[in-house]
Amino acid sequence: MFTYRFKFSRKTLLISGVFSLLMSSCSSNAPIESKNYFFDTYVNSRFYNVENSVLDDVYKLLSEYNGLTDNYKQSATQTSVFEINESNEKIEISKNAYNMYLKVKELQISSLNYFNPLIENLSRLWKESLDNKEVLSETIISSELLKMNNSSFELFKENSKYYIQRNGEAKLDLGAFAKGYSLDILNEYFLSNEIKNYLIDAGNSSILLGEKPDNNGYFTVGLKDISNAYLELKDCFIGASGVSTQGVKINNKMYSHIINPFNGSAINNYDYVFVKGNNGALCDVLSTSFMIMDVDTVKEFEKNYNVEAILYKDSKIIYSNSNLEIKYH
Amino acid sequence: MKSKKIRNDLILIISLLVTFATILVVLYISRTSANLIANIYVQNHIVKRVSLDGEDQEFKIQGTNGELTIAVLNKKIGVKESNCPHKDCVKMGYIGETNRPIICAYNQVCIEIEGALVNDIEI
Repeated sequence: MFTYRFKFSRKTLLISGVFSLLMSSCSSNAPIESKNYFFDTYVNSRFYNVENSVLDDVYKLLSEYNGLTDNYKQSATQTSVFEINESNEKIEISKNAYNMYLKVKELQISSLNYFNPLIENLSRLWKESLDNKEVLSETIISSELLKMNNSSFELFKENSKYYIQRNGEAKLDLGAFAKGYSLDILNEYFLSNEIKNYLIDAGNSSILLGEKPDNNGYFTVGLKDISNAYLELKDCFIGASGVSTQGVKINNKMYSHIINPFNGSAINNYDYVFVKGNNGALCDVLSTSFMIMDVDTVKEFEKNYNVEAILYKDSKIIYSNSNLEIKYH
Repeated sequence: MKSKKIRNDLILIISLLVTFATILVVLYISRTSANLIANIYVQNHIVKRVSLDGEDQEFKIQGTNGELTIAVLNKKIGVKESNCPHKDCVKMGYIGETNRPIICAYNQVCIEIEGALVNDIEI
């Protein structure tokens, strides 16, 4: 009897151990999260298995690039876009700002000018006009396009100091670039600190995904306006643009905040564009650019820049890259 | 003696498995049927938490540049009125079981459903 009890007890311990393991496997891997107002929107950060100090580092990095790219006000610590737009003088900037503007130039060229950082005036005038439910006049559009095409910005490096000079009347607007580029900076930080489990969402339009601790590392990404549709993604950037919330309908035509830099039109080809890739700034810029491209041009860009896109209009998918497997709940 | 031992083992294993399965079911039900709570943020801070399972209601929130009227309607929440120039927050409509937040950039207001489980993110 004693022998049996002993064995039973040992077995109990063994089975209880297995049971405990099962239970612990079910317990949630609680993430730490933060929400910060940057880039005129909220940036949500979610981390798994990291120290709280990571949130502080992420805040500092986002704060720096928020200051650099702000075109509404001066930054206490950075030379913001606002200050560069106020003058045609040569202005000293930080090394990080210099590198950022180099990337802006690179993307302007590689996007074949679909991304034009000097679109601020035209974009602002369209916004003001649409607020009054009016279409911007062709005369103003032509005049602003001329200013834009006759303007530029130059970068200089002299005696270990960095400078920028804006030439012409057109002003800088990095709205289509800033969030994505900041995610690239965060990605570098995560790589150098071996941080793997995270999700950074900048205003639902620029997203950086690491690996989720469960579901084989995949996050489920719901697709706006397509009922129950989602993708499973990890270790990638997402850029998204759309007109649904910022569009204004006038005379049965939908006008958006995304302006065609070639003809100044505010009419887009799609309601929503999703771009997945390996570079945040590129995905951000291309998601805006794709809104005004035809499908064949989008496919050409996908091939050349190793990105994958979904285009949709009226809640229907117009085009979806075959590498993106859309699932439904 | 031996058959009694096996029987006891079986009873132990089955009861543990039943307990385990019951806990899983309870956890699943509690997660899926939990009260929906909306958190309203102004400048990174939660200023109000609202249950969406209660009665329909309307209330005002002071943003950084003015006031917003928030409405809870049929277990969903949205911005009914806002002083912002573009009204993007109003156009976003009402959200319920979704991770897609409503943002009013002009007033630095964000409305988000707590613990929404449909997807990790909605874009």
